[in-house]
Amino acid sequence: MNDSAYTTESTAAAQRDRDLDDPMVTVENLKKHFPLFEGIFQKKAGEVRAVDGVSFSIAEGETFGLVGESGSGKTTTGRSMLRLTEPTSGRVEIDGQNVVDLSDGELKRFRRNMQIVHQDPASSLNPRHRVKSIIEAPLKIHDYGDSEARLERVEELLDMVDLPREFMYRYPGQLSGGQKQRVGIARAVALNPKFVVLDEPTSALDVSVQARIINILEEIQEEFGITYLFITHDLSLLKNVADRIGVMYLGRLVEVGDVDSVFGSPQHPYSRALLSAISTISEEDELAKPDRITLDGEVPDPREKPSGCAFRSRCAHEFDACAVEEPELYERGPDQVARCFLHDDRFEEGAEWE
Amino acid sequence: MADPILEVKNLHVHFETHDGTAEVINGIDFSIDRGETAALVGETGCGKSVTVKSIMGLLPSATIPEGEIRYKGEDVLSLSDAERHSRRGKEMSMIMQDPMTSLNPVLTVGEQMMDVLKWQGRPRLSLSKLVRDALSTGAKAEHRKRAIEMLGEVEISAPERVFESYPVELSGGMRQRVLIAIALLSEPDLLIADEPGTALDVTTEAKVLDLLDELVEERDTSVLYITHDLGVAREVSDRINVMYAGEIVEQAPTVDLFANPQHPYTRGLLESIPTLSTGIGDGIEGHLPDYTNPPAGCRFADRCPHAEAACHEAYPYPRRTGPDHATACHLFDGLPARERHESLAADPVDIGTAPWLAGGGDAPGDISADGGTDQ
Repeated sequence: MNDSAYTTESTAAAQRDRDLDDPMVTVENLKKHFPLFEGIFQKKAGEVRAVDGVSFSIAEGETFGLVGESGSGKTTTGRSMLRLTEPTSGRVEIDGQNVVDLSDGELKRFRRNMQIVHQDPASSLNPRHRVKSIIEAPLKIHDYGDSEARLERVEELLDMVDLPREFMYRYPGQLSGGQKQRVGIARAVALNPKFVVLDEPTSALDVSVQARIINILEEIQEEFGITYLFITHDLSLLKNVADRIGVMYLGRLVEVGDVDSVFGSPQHPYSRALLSAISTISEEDELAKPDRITLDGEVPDPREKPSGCAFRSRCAHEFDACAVEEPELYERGPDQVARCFLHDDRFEEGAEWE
Repeated sequence: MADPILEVKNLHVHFETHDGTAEVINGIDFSIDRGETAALVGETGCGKSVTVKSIMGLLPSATIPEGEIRYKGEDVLSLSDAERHSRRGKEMSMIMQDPMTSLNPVLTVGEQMMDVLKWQGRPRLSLSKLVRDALSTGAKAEHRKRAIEMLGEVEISAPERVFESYPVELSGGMRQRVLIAIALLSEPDLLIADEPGTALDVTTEAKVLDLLDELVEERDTSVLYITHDLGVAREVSDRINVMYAGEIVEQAPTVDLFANPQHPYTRGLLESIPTLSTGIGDGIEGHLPDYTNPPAGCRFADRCPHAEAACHEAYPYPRRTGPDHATACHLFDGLPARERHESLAADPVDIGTAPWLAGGGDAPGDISADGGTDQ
């Protein structure tokens, strides 16, 4: 496993291997298919396989980044993991508990361990409730002390997200986008969850505000050892927040690995194209990313995914085998796998890579 | 700057609100040379869109108490509505921000494109023209051909099919291409692109920007890009104007701006952008000032780490800090970039020099060393 090319990173990777032996979150073959109906009798006419067999694990206190374009299934993955939409099949283990098996009552109790920060702070806070009652809601639901204890906790949480305590009595409409998102974060961490899904927490915000929010999230993680799943389409952001990342395309993970390996040497043509499309602000960054690769066409209709490798319709390296079967995840480093036949010894074309 | 196609001088734009007059644009100056691509960069609410909408004349509810907008030397603010209408869509056109909402959902792409060709900037069609159009199929067929040709030019693979499609049948990237095609149909001399890639995925955005770049290069069109993303501005533009709270705080050629960012806001913005090599900064504390009661001095002073008491009092007029670099900040010394600020310059505010320059040399020297562009 420890190839010579990766010796510099092998100690860090070994550490991670130990942590990954006992991960906080494990996702196995998670699927979410949305049925399509048509006609007046609403006959089932097919399905969209939004998430189609996704597996990964996250070590305790680590941030796993999920990246992909719109429609790749990254948000559906996050939501199915928390059972905010019911997964079709698969296994999601959070802190040793398979979430998919939980009954409704058990699930409600278990939710204190897993929370989510939504994408759009403007629409994820009830405009008619004051900040205090928004942050207090999870505390009430999970019977956290009396009103005095709850008030104390709300104050503590506001301090944590760097908002003045008097904001407690404001309505979301009186807050700026960044302030609203801080309230969303305070609500998510109110019950000291073990695992939080961050679904594009900063994509609705300006960069100067985004930087503040990211710093707050990192401080909270450091202090409480929370495990994050960070969903975003912004690769440069992910480079700065994630320990490991997974690249999604049409409901499948095409590359998974530690952040430095994937950014340093992307092993799937899609990850490489994504990285090459990043706009940069310095010459240094310009050199750090692959040369611009333009992808042909557009993401195919998820109802009619290409056979074999779903990415082949846009891939410059496509060859016969790609249409026949889907590549498995090939090991490309101590902590890096890529779903591409270019890495299969059976095919000579593998030599083209690098 | 021999022959600017667009010159904006001391533009002020006000809106009447329930809380009083909002002074949204507070005296901005910039120009675009023929064939040049300039960018207007700033965060949400800084007045970028208001600026370009006043250039296009699309802000009926705003008042412009002061200022000049010169297009090819002609003051467009003094023109009648009909005269401005005749220039819109023909001389200057605009790509709107959101491809999802800026196409009419009940008309096909073709119908919307044909409209541009049919009206050609005319406020109304004369009766004889209407009759002629109705009788002859020739003009219509020609317009159709031209529209389909244009769709091909924006690299839509099945232009005939897209021509007959309704916007909902197209993906975001396709719709953005259609918008670009519509904007370029009348071969405008000035194109305003309001965040043309923001609503798209990164790989699609990169493609659309490359395409737009190619098309304007071929036609020698001048472009004004509006964007919140300095990375995008760096890729597409020759010159950058950084806006904050209705003022242009720094303007410089793109290369120069990134080599030598001067205004504390520009620097804060650059540091906030997550990068691949250096990490992510702390961001900028605080938020935009209230436009109905703007600060008397520097509008950025409340959020500026280098602000002194004087910054809250004295207006930081833009000053020349290099051969083609202007910065509106008291940290820098230099002659005023505009004549109207000479009286202010006579009584300079001294808050020292920029801390990041304290160690080595003065700023103007650095710029020329970095190869400030010739004018």
